[in-house]
Amino acid sequence: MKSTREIKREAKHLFRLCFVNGSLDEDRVRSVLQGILGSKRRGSLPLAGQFQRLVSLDRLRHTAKVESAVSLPPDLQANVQASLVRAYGPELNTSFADNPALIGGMRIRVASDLYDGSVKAELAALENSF
Amino acid sequence: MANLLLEIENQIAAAKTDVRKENVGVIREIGDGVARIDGLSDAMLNEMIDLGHGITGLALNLDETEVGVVILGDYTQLEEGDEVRATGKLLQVPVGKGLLGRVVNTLGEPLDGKGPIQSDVAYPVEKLAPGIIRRSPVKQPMQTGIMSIDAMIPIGRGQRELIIGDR
Repeated sequence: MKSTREIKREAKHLFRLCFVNGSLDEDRVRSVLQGILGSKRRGSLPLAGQFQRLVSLDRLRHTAKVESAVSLPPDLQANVQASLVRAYGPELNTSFADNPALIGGMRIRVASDLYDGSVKAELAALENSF
Repeated sequence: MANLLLEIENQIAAAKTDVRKENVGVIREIGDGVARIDGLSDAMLNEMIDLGHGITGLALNLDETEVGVVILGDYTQLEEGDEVRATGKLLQVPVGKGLLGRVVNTLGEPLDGKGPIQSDVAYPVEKLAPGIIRRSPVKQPMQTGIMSIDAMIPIGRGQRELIIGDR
């Protein structure tokens, strides 16, 4: 039976095979997944799970979530999107959402990077400083 | 009171907010006192991680897609999906005369209920010892009270002594 380390190594190898010209190719991802599940060999389900995790992490790296206390006007949304694309590349998908809990300001998250300019974060920092 | 209100208004008008980039992650799994976290791409080895709820963790395992963090606190308050942040600081504790007479835990947090530790300086927990030249010379002998040790093994006050043997 394969160990977790071997499954991770194999999933990583399969994940790297799905890249075409530096970006993840969806057709290759589908065909690899079908190959894993269709083989029905022992360890195929954990392998598929690990492969799915790598794909989802890659999607997160190319996804920006912008939260604001109120809805942003279209020109400001375009401005924010352009700035994010300049920083993270043209493959970035940007989504905008309203979050009244922020009170004011904006909160942008791209993978592990967080830019929190909300009033809620300022108040939390102020509270921690006491 | 009018002066106070004016002062508050001036401070609010002059207040500037600066947005800094933070490194965050999401807890994927918790078990055996270790939290496995997705994200935290810029985490350093032995960096303190803010797990929320006043709990600190220590990043000890840096994998390509996840970070293993040892939980230095009550793990029952943490859940899968919680957002955690990197602090940018290695494991450090407050030092100074404010610790005199206080009871603290391993992170330097007070346990005696006498308020926070008054200290402006924090030293890293894992710190290189000063070199031989910087150390004070050993001048006074130290007696253990055990005749066989005091007779055969010279030990000085402040000296570092290696002890090897079976338990």
